[in-house]
Formats: sequence, C-alpha cells, structure tokens
Amino acid sequence: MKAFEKIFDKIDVTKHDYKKLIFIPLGLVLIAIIILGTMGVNLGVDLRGGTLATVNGISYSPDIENYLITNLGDSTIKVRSIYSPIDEGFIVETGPDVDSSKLIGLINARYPDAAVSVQNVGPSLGASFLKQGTQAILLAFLFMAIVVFLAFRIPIPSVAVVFSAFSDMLIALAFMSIAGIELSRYTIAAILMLIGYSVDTDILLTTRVLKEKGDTVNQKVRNAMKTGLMMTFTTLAALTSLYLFSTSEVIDDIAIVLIFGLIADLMMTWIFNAGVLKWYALRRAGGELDE
Amino acid sequence: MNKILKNGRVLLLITAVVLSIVTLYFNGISTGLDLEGGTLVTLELDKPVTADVMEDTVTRLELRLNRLGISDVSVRPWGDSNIMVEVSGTSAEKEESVIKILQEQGVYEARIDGQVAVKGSDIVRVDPPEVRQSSYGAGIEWNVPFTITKEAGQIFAKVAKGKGGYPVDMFLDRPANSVIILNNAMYNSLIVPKSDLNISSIDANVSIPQIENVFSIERRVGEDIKILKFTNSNEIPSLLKSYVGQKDKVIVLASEEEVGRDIINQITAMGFKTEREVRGESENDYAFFSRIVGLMNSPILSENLATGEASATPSYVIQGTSATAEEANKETSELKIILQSGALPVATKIAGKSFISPTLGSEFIRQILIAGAAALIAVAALVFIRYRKIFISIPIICISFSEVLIILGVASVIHWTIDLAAMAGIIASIGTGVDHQIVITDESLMEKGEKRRRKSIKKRVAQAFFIIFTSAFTTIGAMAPLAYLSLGMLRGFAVTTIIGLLIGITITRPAYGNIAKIILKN
Repeated sequence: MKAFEKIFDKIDVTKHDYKKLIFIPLGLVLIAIIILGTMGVNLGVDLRGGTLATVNGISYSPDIENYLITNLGDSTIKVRSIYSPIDEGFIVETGPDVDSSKLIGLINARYPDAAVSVQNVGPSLGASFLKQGTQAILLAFLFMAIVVFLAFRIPIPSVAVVFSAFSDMLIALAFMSIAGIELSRYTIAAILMLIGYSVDTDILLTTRVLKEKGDTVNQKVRNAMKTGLMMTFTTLAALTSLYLFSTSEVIDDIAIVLIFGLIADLMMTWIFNAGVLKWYALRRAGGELDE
Repeated sequence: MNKILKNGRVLLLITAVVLSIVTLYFNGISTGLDLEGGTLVTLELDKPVTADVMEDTVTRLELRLNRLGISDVSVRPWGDSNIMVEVSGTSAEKEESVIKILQEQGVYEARIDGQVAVKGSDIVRVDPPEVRQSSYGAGIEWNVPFTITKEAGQIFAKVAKGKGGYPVDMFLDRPANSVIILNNAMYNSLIVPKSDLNISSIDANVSIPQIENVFSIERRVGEDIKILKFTNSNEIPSLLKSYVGQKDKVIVLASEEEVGRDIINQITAMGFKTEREVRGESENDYAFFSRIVGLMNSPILSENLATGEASATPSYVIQGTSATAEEANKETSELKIILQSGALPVATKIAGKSFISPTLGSEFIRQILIAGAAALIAVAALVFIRYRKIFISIPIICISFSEVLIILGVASVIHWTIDLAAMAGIIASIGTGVDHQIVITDESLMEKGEKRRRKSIKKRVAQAFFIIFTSAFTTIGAMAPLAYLSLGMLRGFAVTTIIGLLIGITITRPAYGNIAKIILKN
C-alpha cells in the first residue's frame, strides 16, 4: 500500500485551499459551455438521417473515399479507418440520399470477402430518435436529482451533486465536439451511463462528509477520495480495454465518451463537490476551523 | 471459508449462479440482430394508428414476409407509428427481397387448372368472415364471403366451367414469367403427388376426385412459370439457353452445396434476374414449392359454380372447417388478407434499414469476449495493487463474473434478447458492481489512525449500503425513462442495466458485504 499512499499524497486535494481550487472545475465548465455554444454538437447519422457502413476484415486505403464519391455521386461521403489489435476495417458515412443496397454492392464489388454492415436511417426517423434521446437525458437528470434529494434531504449538498453530474455531461459533450465524435443513440447511452457513474462518487463523498462523525472534514474527504479514485480508476481501466480491443463503433464510442466524462468527473467530484461540501460543513459547524 | 459458504446471502448468490447456468444450458439465450447478422427495417406509418390497426398491419406484413422462408422473421410494433421488421441471418441479396416485399403491394391471383379465374383488382369487397360451431358435430365451420365485379364474374364462370372439384389455387405475389429450377428428386415428388393435395381448407360438400394427374402442380402454377429439373448442376446454364429473352427471372431451389455460386453467376450473366431459395426448416417439398410460387391456399371448387353460368351478383364464399375456434379465426383472417392482396390498412414507408453481415456479428461477440476478459484482468490487477490482499481481489472478480452469469440467466428466463446495446448495459452494471464492492471493502477495512474504526463493522457496512442503494437508484432513475421511451436499441441497454443493478442490490452486493464482514473479522 506504500506506493498507493505516495501517489495519493501528491494528488491530495485537501492540502490546497479549496476556495481557490474550485475555480479550476468551474473554469472548465465555462470553457465547455463556450465550446458547445460555438461549435455545437455533431449529430450522428442515426440522428440526422443517412447511411453508415462498417466494413471489417479489410485494411483501409485512402482512395476508397474517391471510389465511393464518384460511383455514388454524393460528395458528402466520408470514410475513416478503424483499428484494433484483433481486427481492422473502415467506416463509410453518407448523406440520406444514398441507396444503401447500392453502397453494399459497390463495397462488395471491390472487396468480395469483407464483412459489411449497413445502417440507414431516414431523416424523419432520425429526428424522432433525437427527440426521444433529448427527452431521455432530461428525464434521467430529473429522476437522478429526485433520488439524490430524497437520499440526503439537504439542499446545498444535493444541488452540488446534481451540478457535478450536469457539468460532467457538458464537458463530455464539449470533448465530443472537439474530438469529432458524433452524438448518436450510442453516445446518448454513454452520457446516461456517465450520469450514473459520476453520481456514484459524489454520493460516496457526500455520505462520508455529512454522515460520519469523528474525523475532520479533510480526513473524511481524504478517506472518501481513496475509495472514489479506486472506483473511477477501475472503471477507466475496464473502459480502456474495451476501447482498445473492440472495433465495434458502438462500444468504442461509448467507451471513449465515458473515459473523458469520468476524467472530467474526477475534477468535478474531488475539487468542486468536495470544495462545496467543505464550505458547507464548516459553515454548519459554526465557522470553526476544522483543519 | 466454511463460514462464508454457510452464510445465507452467499448461499443465495450461489443458488442464483447455479440456476442461471442451468437455464442458460437448457434455455439458451437469444442474441440480437447486431450479433447474429441480419436485416432490420424500420417502417414509418403515414399516421399514428390504434392498437387494432397496428396488429392488423403487423399480421399482414408477417404473412407476406413468410415467403422468405426464414423462421426468424419478426415484425413488431414500435410506438404507434413505427413497425420494426427483423430478419435474422440473411445475406445481402436477401435484404433486397425483404425491402421489395415491404415496399410493394402484393398481387393476388386465383387460378383454376392454371387459368386465371380471379385477379386481385377484380375483388370489390371482402366481407367479415363468419365462424360458427358445426351443426354436424365437432369442429368449427367458417366462411369468408367476397364479391367481384360483374365482368370478372363472367371470366370466373368461363374458367370454372366443368372444373368442379378442382382446387382454386390462391396465389399471393406469384413469380410471373419465371423459370424454377429444382433437382430431379424434388421434381418427381411434386409432379407425381403421392398422398393428398395438402389442401388446407376443403369444402365439406365436395369430395376430391381421385385423378391425381389433373391436379399436376406444373399445370396449376400457370403456363408462364416453367419448371426445370436438373440432375447435375453443371447442365443448368445449357438447360436455360432456350429461355434467354423469354423469361425474366430464374429461381433456383437449391442450397449452395448443390448449386454453386459460379452457376448462379453464369445464370445472371445470361441476362436473368436470379434468385436462390433455400428450403426452410422442416419444410417438405410441397410446402417449399408452394412458398416459392406464392401458393397460399387451395379451396376446392364447388360443383354448382362449375356450370359455366355467370351469376348476376358474383359473390362467392370460401368455406371450411377447423378443429378449434382459434384455428378457424387464424384461417379466415389469413384468407381475408390474401384476398385483399396483403394490402395494408395504412400507407407505410421505409424510414430506416440496417444490414449486419453475419460474420461481423460473430466477430463482435469474439471481440467483446476478449475485451471483457481484458477489462476484468485490468480491474483485478488494480484491485490487487491497491489492497495487496488476494482474498479481497478474488471475491471481487468472482462476484463480478457471477453477476454476468445471473444477468444472462435472467435474460434467458424472460427471453430478453442480448444485443450490442444490452452488452453495453451488462458492462455498465458490472462496472457499477465493482465500484460498489470497493465501497464495501473500504468501509469495512480498518486503517490505522482512523477515528471511524470505533464504529462496528456492521455499522460501517450499513453505511456502505446506504451509498450503494442511493447510487443504484440514481442510475435506475436515469435509465428508467430510456426503458420507457423505447428508443429502439437503447431500450435494451437501459433494461439490461436496470436488471443488472437490481440483481446487484438484491443478490450480489449483500453477498459480498457478508463475505467482506467475515473475511475482515478474521
């Protein structure tokens, strides 16, 4: 446990002034809002309408894009490569007007042995996916917030938990926007998973700080952090191996969005939420210096 | 160890795991289209419809799609204005025919002795079928009345003249002007019928004449469909030579082992539209052939319609008897749909379609198994590095693994389909599971200098469970709208996650809590 303690000592947030630290996550949230405001969110093929073809078992060559553009007459066609240690291939994305059976035909003509999967979503179906997805995220927040309020029954800490989860989502969306990851049905699932995962550590922290007696606030945060970091890092380790080994667009996208969302959550939980809780606990204790 | 195994919660976990393994072994698990390969088409209805209309539409689509001869055609409503059609394990060529069937209106045709007697466009009206208890004894009598135009009535009378007792062959989507190729054995068994005619509804008043040749299936399908037999698949191209430019389509009723892909390519190169059809599971020659030519039903022509006299009001009744009321209802509603050419009560259009190659599906399973194993190893390594105690790492990994088994077991019992999204859900709940076990471990572990060690293990584990329940319910709360909103595949993800979390808080976490208590006391 020695090595763990050493690393932990270096990243122990309770050693710094929480009032100053709290501006780091808040600044990050602000940057995320600016990014989302200026760059917006890229909608995936399944939410805006179009065709997505996944071709496995073939190594990607850049000329495939031109081959498809000339033969299908859609200049918006994009091809990108996918790679994992156990398989490789590429992904084709087209606009809504391309006939998907024609696309399969063209790919099969060039690569007879490739395994092709095609997903085609019409614009109106995409719109209803988007509407349902947005509703799902909003309702998810609402229900999560209700559970948190019922569990703690104290406004300020509960709001801090909900705000952290909301910020995680904003940062994850901003990351997607920069990294060119599209919002699809699957990344919506990732965002919902993120709500679940990020709230876990916040609940752990809040319970330890509010419900335990005896230790100083700093000691409680430190203890919670030991547990919480372990939770987040095991999750990150699992997600990283999923990301590395799978060539499934679905799994890859879910994994990468969660990875960045959880990294953002480390900051939101252990700097922002811990800071708010410390402030709240100290104020409740009548301003006593507890350090 | 003994103490752990005798613990009630742990016993519950072990029982659940054993039951899951047994269920999985006997019941198996249904995997989704994206893991198995197949075609998924999302249809959008013109307007939202009531449950009745939706059911009717689904039945009609099912009936027409069954021509594909694949056992796994699933048509299911999705909300009030969408229908999802799933055909599993198909090839890219098959996808085209699925789309074609979904897009086009069916074509109905009734033939007597190969001659067109009634066309779908002749039918003015199909009246509600009547079903009643047979007055002669057991069984349910039913009839389906329909009316055709006056002109069509005259044609019917002419075609039916002197054909009393003949089957009236009702076709839906008959492959007009085509050549059907089949092997010698199948040809012989079809052309010389040995047993009965496999007529599903027989007019009770008419006896079947014993002259089998009259009912040669070759005549019954009509002259424009040519049936060709082959003994050696290599001779097929030369057999077809005389039909180049005459026939549009060639349907080969043979598996790939019997007639290779090269032969099919040769036929296509001759200028035919080529289709390969494969026998469905437990389909006999007659049923297989009937399906290909779209022969849906063959009631027997009553003698009094065979006089050649056209009726002033050309209304007809298809009669039959079934053993149960349920069968009668099925039979009549199917006949009604056939007479209406499978027409749908509401206009539909294809809103989206996916095709997943079967090899890709199995590749995904392989990848996820490898990735899952890697994830488990990574987690185990981290847990070991952190706690340096093998007796903490092993239970965490064992419990995570048993959680996967129980989730799959539950999925098997409730016939829940495991697809990629559901797998993501399993991963999500395992991830949460590991997190929660870490919470339990840390709450139970005593560290030097911590004042909270004064609390008993029992109290600390209780606090751990407060954290676990709260966080499990936030996730369940977050997933519930998704499960309810039925966002297609995401629904699977949400439901699986919820199932996983419920199993977690009721079975696996309490078991781990007790294991931790016992281990840490010693």
